[in-house]
Amino acid sequence: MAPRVLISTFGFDETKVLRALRWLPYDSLVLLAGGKSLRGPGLRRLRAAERAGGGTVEIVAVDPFDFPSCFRGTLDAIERHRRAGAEVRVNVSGGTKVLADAALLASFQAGVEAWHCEDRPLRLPVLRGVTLTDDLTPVRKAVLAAVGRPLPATKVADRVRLAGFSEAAVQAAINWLRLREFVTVEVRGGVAIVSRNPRTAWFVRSLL
Amino acid sequence: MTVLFGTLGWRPQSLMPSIKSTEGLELVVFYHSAHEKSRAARSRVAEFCSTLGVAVTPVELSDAFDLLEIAGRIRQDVLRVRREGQGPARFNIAGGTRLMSSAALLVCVLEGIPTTYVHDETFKEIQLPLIHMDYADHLSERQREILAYLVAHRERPPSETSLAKALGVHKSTMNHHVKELVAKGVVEVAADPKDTRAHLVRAAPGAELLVG
Repeated sequence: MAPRVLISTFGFDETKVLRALRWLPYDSLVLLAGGKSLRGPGLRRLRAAERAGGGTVEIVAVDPFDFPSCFRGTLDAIERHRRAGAEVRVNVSGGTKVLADAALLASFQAGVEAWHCEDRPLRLPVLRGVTLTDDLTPVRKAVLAAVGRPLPATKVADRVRLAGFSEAAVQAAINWLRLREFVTVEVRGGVAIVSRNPRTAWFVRSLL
Repeated sequence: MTVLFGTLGWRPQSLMPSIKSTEGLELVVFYHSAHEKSRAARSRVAEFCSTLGVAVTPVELSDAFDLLEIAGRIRQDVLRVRREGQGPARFNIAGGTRLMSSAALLVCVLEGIPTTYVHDETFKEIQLPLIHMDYADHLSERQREILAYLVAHRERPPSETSLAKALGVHKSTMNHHVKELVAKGVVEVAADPKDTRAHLVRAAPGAELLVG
């Protein structure tokens, strides 16, 4: 059986994580935490509890008020443990709301189970195993890679065609990416310019 | 014209920056709990909107900790606004309980709504890198049909055999679909308490959000 890894958001109150540990089966625990909570008594108590149970706690340090930091931290932890063959679950009951929301979004996009363990455990409705990258076909990836800098749509087509894709496929890919806000298309001086959407650009980089 | 949705807690400052920054704001729909402090925050937001001449619809939630009910309510409102063609929507998920915020985030992911957050200390608005995930695309037409049936019959979950009969599908085909839906985590199979040889098939909590 694959090892079960529970990735949990954590603030100061260890009871929120302990509730998840009681409800969700796990073999090892990863905490997403940052700031003062890394020096708090809650973490010391949690570590002691895990030690008593023969386990250890892996800490992923994030800035709990910075969404990209929390999102990347969660996504990296999920991917690292999945690559190692683990079955990953995420619990978002602890820590700041920013951290919980970022961890939740990372879980949706990575297709792993996300749980809220407050009064009772609640699994969020996510299609297990369905990830955002499933929708990124090779031609869509090629377009995203080509528009690292803003480019006229015709040049994007020229570049991506070199990789063996038809112009129609490239146009369809640009349209798909525009509708999902991966890229923006602006007409400047009569020319359609394709760029990565600044709102999602940092995230797109992690997909390529 | 834009419709701004938001979750509100005790601090009106968590929603105000989005009201100020939304271009062509026509309507603000926000969700808050029945707590006295949330009601006070509601009054301040409503007063501000009224000063700006922007329509406002505050929605008091009966349970600010019931994630699935909140998500269902928000999604219903978002779909209504879309149907009525009231313009593009955006969502500020900064305020309210953690479960209100998560419910709103879930709806934003499913519906592809641009989402913002307001920093707890600086009150600066942050755009979230949220990308629409169309889960329905990852279910076959038959799987969506099965899920919709199970959601509609949540109170009396059918056995696999009666499910196959109801949808006019061969038993073995239904078994295949049910296995796939279980693997995707949207359907659960449990022993029938009245007949230990039979199994009941039910939609997982919140599955209705995936079938619209």
